[in-house]
Amino acid sequence: MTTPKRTDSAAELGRLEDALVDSILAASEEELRAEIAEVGEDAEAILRRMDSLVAAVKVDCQLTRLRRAQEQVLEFQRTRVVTTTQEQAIARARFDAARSQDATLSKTLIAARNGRGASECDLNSLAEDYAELERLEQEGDLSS
Amino acid sequence: MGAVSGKTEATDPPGNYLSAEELIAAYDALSVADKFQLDRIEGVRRGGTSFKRGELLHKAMCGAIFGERRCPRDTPVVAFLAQTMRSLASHERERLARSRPLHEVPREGEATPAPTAVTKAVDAIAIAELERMTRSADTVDSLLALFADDETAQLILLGWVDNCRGKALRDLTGLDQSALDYKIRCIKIKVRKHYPNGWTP
Repeated sequence: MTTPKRTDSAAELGRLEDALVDSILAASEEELRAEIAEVGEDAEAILRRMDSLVAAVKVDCQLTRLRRAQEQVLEFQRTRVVTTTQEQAIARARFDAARSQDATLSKTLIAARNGRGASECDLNSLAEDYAELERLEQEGDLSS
Repeated sequence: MGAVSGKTEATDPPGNYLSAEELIAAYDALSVADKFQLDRIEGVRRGGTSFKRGELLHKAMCGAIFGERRCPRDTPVVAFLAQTMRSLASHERERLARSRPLHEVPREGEATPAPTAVTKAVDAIAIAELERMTRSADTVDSLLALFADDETAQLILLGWVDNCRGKALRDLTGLDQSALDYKIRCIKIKVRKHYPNGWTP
């Protein structure tokens, strides 16, 4: 019977830990319960603490997800291009001109489908989208 | 403990790993034995770290949900969490070792250039590593001293130090498996009593 040779002390300690953990993983519920009792700890208290821990993990993860989603919304709002009043006015004028030449356009809007014709809000939204599209097209022309 | 790998390759298909929802379901489904195991394992791993009881396991569980480490589908969740705690504790010990104040070594003679920021940083890492080794050696010695009146327990510890398991450990100690299991159980109880917050410095 020979005594094993000692080498790197940190690695030695790591291997001791690994062996101990492996023996814990191999133990049954009864064995663990007996060991816990033998060191004077309360097995039921451990189970309660573990249940609380799992509940806390779920809550913390939900909160983290929510916080990340809020950060993404803020980031989106920060980087979102807002059209100026002048751009909207130009777009609205072009849109009105196009609309006057196409009678079917107004009917495609939600309010029009309800039989009330396009609302001012619909038209403003469209003008805003139109202005933003124009800006994107111009940016695309500049970059290409 | 080497079979479970929390870190994943970029090319691994995501389907090979448990999703966040599956992990949460697995946490909810932990058995009594699983919970005891995780509690005991955390007790071993958090030694030498700044983690309070429950914090290391909490970090391991949350990290898995957020994909910082992914649990392979064919790996038991408890084994995966055990391996994740091992890794987190190891990083934390290294971080703590490097954050300790540097004790400067006096240099002799005027010809020696003053230490630069780089040499100071290198020295700090080397000293931290040296201190870690010294503390580790002291801990192994303390553990062996804890079993000074039990040669067989000392042999088991020395066998573990040398990565002896199974048959190699039976051969080393001359014990059959059931006698070995009993002795290991005694070691675990004595170590837990003596080091309730983990033994690593």
